[in-house]
Amino acid sequence: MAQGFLTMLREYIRLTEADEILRRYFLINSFDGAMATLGVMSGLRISGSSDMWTVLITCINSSVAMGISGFAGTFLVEKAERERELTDMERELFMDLDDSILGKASRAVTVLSAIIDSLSPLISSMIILLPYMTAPLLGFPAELCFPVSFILAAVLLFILGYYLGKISNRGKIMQYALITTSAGLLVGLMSILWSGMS
Amino acid sequence: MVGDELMRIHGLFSSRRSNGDPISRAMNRLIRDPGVEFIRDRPERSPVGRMPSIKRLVLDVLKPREVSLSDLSMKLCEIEGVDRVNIVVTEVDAKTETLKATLVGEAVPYELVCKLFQDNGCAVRSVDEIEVGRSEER
Repeated sequence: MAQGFLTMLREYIRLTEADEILRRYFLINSFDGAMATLGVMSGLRISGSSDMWTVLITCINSSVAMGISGFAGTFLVEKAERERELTDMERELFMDLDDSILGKASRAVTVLSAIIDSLSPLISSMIILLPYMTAPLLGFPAELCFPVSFILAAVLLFILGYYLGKISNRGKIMQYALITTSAGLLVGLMSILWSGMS
Repeated sequence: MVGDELMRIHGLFSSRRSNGDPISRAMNRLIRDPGVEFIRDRPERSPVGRMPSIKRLVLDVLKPREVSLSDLSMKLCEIEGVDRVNIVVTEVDAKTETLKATLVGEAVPYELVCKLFQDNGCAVRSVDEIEVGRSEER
């Protein structure tokens, strides 16, 4: 059944040529989620609120808010765009396409885009917050959480850049990876500067 | 029954022409029996039931370019009664393609074919050719 569902979903993505836009949503929002979490984490550290639960709840809350915002925004934008495309096609064919495979694909891809858009910042945030989530269970010192999370964020950003480089297919993999990692390091640098000023 | 009688008389008539007057006897029986019964009786007595069905159908179809031609033809060929599918793209536009779809089979189900085209976002514009023939009753 799951296999059938995946085959159907793949068919819908192919029909609507949505693979590119879905990949874009995933990458943009993963990057956003990672940067936002890094920013909130650094900001809390500067302000002196280094309590693990405070960091965890604040970061998860912000990424959930990003997820809800992403879901609502993407759903509405995609719905409007896909409906316009469907209406254009209906005009070309002089027929109603709501119950056709194109109508079904259009609706499915709208929901899928919204889900990907909402889950991607949450996933990247969870990866970065892994040390904070596992520290009480594994029993490693709370002071290590921030540096380990920072390294995880840099690695995640590097992977995202690497993937972007591969997509570009121009042999600039390291260039992309370094740009995304530098963006994360810039947030870290800013937090150091802020802490120096305060 | 009238059908049986006629068959029997037909046998007598063809093999033993000199034996009596079978034609007049048959006529008498037909006059005595109501003709309606004969008509009602006829399809059952037919040695082979033969129903007319579509053997070849050529349709003019407008298809969105996103819909794969191979997938569409495979789905059409999966319909019971369709043995062969041939699709020729006759015109290509920015968003659509015009197709000449030829379906050949023992009994091509027209309604099902149209429904499949519609489900796949295609508009059947006209029936360009149709070939109907009698086939064995299923």
